[in-house]
Amino acid sequence: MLRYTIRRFFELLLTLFLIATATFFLLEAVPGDPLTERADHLPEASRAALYERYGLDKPIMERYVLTMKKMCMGDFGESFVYAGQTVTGLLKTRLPVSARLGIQQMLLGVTVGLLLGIAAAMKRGTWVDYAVVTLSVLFISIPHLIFGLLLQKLFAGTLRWLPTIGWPSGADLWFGGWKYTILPTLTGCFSYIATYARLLKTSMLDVVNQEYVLTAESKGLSQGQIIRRHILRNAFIPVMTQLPMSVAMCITGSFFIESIYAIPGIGQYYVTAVNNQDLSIVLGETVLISILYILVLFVTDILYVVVDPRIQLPGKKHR
Amino acid sequence: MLKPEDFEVVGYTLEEANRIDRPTISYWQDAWRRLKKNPIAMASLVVLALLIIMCIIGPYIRGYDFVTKNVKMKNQGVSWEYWFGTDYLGRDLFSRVWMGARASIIIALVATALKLVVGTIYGAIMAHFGGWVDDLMMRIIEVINSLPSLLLTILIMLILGNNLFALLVALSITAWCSTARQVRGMIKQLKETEYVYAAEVLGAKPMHIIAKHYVTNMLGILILNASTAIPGFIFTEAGLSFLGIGLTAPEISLGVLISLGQQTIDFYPTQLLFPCAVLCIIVMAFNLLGDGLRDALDPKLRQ
Amino acid sequence: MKKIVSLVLALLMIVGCMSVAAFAEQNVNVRTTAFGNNYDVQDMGWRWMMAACYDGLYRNVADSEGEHFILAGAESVDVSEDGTVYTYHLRQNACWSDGVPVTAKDYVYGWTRLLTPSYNYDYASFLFGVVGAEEYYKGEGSAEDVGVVALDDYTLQITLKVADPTFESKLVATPTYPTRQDLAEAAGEAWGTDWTLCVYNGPFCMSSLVEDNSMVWTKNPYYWDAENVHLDTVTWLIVPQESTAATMFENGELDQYQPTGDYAIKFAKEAAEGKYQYLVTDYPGTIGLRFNRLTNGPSGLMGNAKICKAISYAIDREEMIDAVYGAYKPAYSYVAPAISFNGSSYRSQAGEVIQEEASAYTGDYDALRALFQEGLDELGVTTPMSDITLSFLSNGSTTVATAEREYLQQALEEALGIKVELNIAGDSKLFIAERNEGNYDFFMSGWYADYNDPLDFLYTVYTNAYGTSMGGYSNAKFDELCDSLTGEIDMAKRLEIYTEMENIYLLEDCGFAPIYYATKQVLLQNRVKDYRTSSFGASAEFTICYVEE
Repeated sequence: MLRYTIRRFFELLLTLFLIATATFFLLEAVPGDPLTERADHLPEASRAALYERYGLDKPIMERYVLTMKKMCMGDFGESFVYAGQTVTGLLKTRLPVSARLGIQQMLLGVTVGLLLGIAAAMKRGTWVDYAVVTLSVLFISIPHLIFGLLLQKLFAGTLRWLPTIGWPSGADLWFGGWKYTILPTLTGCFSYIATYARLLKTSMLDVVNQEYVLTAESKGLSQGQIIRRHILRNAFIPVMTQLPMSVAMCITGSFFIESIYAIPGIGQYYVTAVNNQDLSIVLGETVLISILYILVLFVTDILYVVVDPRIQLPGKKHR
Repeated sequence: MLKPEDFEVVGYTLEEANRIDRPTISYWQDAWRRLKKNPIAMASLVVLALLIIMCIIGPYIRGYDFVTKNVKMKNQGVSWEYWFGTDYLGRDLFSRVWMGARASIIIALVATALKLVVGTIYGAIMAHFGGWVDDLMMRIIEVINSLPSLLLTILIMLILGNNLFALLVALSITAWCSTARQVRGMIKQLKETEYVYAAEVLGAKPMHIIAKHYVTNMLGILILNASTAIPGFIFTEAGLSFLGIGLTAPEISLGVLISLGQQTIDFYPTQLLFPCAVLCIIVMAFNLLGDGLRDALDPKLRQ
Repeated sequence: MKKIVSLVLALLMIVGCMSVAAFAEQNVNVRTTAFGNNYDVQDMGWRWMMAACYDGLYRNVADSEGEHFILAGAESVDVSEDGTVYTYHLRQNACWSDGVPVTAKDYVYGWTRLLTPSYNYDYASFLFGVVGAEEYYKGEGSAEDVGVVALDDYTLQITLKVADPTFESKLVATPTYPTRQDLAEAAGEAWGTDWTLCVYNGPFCMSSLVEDNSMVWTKNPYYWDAENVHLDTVTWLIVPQESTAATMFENGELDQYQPTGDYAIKFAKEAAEGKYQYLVTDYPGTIGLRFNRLTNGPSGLMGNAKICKAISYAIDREEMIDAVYGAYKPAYSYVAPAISFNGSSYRSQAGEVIQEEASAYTGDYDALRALFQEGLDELGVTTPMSDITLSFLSNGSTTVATAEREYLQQALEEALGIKVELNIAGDSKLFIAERNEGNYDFFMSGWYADYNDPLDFLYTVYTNAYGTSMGGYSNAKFDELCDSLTGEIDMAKRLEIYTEMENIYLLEDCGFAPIYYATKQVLLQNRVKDYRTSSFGASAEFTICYVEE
């Protein structure tokens, strides 16, 4: 276990290095540079001075080495868009916002999704099953943006029950201003409902056909006991392994939802930064997302072993 | 008391003993048989067929020019003349929606084909060579996977410009990784299965093993892969148009039509409704068909 | 007993009335789509914010008398007889939001800063009329030699090289506003980017900012005219989607927003019924097609005036504006009607430049094609017109941007029988990159004025004044005329020169095909009173605005 963790850690470092390198050179390959717009009307001399100030006058390899060196010390540099600000400072204010939105969406979506999945699997072939299937397919077939706009029109526009845009801040950052969070949470939770309802239903049906369920049935266990003891426990394995991925995704924010409801999270901010070739922001956020992703993979691997004793950690030789 | 003499040989051959009375059903026939029994999947199949027919002939049914402006007729609602109404430059929306659906489906199909071909070849190479080649190629996949796909997509669109080629590259650049992983896992697993081993022992030629076992087993996975990837690509295409970095008008795709339509949702809801409905139907049909296929192709569910 | 009851009731009513009055919260909610992220006055970062939170020598006002400027930070001004020396007497009660008085030294620092070469301010050229300014900016002189002097704390003296009738109108613009030396120098690189380091001498102060969400301005108690500022707060909300903004406005969550397209038409109708207030004003901007004079374009044809004119006149401006924008006014000149000259609209004095010629051609495809062919003959090009392809550079994916380029493409193809190829850049940065490379035959471009004089428009196409952003236009005669304006104080003569310059640009050379003059549509709730909109100062003026319950 310890050896595995250490190996994973070094792999993480290597992957991060490669990711940062790829991000840097991809951003460089975009035509124009972050100062193109600002330097548009400037005379030649002033333009050169501006480029010098931001270090963009140096050859690409030199900048690459410089960026990497700084990055190793945790310094991603100054933003071109949110001038004078650093990525760490900006993430500090924005990450909690996206995280709360994501966690609310996920908690609601996963809970409802799992319940629907169980209902669909248990009432297979009845209207409940078809309703859940139709609903979940519908939920993933309507684009987020349209869904958000419709909810907004209905609940904030026509009915006037909820505020149109906004997000709690300050003391209400985590627990408060609930009315602002209802619509964005609803908009985002549908895809979780759809994913988890389908996932659990499928895996429950897989398990139902296993021999041990038959054995349990023949031993005369009650339906409820079979479902709790045998079916659900085993059917949860794919759910458990999907969950960490959802956690990683939910924290990194959703561009569309943040944009419709004017939520100051990191999703919107990331897209703006990429468009502006804002190297420091893009690099900082990419590295953050990648770390999350890799950690999640690691947790998933461990979880597999915990929930399913048949699986061994990769790296250990079989037999 | 019965004696052996009481029995008469009425004809017995080895062939007869081994004869199978029921017709042999191949894996595919069986899958098709089970798919036919699934009403939802069959319904989606019919819907898809209709959609594809509409994509081919739809733009020409009304006989309108769906490119040239006709500003006197702009933003018309649904009427006998214009079944879906007209757009901001007075062009028939019915024709444009099917034109857009055609583009979206073609984009999704090509991207899916790219994903499957690249993924399969990559995965097969990994599984075949193993060792450090496998490790290295796996590391590449890991790096691509760890990069947020939105970042890669936007950057590729910015680097290559707003065109079809760039869009295809942007869509498939991360998508092939999952296929490659699956194919690699599948081949590695197959290599060790008893029946492949048995076939080898029985002296089957490598080509036979590949054709009979590898291809058959993998096709199932690849078909499933495709049926979930296609709606995914259609969706991503639409999403990119919202961000203003996918295709842009005058190109017509469902994404372009929806992103233009949602800006005037309060006044001409039909301009959003129809492209959006067609998109939803396509995506739903593919998803439901995919569900059906998964059930049909899974031998464990055979009854 | 009854008496007591009625007394209590009366008291309750009074309390009730008082609390209603107290609850008439003096706040307006305003929509925007992005924040400026630049708080440096010298950079004219975010003009709306600048003009509301800062104060210069003059303030622009738009009222019943039209658009004009009045003294603001200065109480009075003495101009020398030859028009070269301006002496401003500053208000002694004007303070920064930290309580420190605004002095002439702050102006001197602001102006010196604007001219300091290492800061690269775009608007440094506003001061080039001042003695020693251009020399200092170009590194040939020193800051001490610039003709801006603080005679004492409240007296500012400015010396011009020659008399310049446009000079005062430039002082409305924020780059000429004062700046606090102590704070700016302490902030260093962060000046203008970190708003928490700023102090304000205008009616409002920025008091909170949540990026991508909201911004609040609160009343500045130290503003010299604070008693005439009625609002306690102005709240800016980021609302990216217009449909959302419309919903919010109808719900009363927004007090002001600028509708476009169908929303503008809808709200104008509702405003006519008295539900809202709807203001439409001319805005000093002209938008049209800029032809490539940098490289003459990939087609090589753009250097020819006749070809460009054929393109320009092929556009039916009335139809296009109606079909594409649903707002604005058809344009036939370069300088917008909102620009005034010598006290009245410049356009009413100079007339529309190309209207006569355009009306002879527009709609007559044969005449247009003949004109285009004449141009081809002049260039000695023998390619038939049907084989000619022109490249049209544009960007944006909104309905308007899309309709605009598709309309133009088809209108030109239909009228001239040529092909127009669309080159759509992914975003404005890529657009600029393509434009700088000269990869276009024409592109959508325009100009929004910074100060109220025709020269502001005309100077944009002075050789190399704005790099490649004006299509690389250059004409020695035009430049010569422009130079001859220096020191010209005879207004009749100036009008004559302006007219001739505009004729050269649009009629002789046809470097630009004007399409529309901008207007501004503002929608207000009825409870918002005394809201003003202006073109050169704060485009949204909240200074004397108040909310009535």
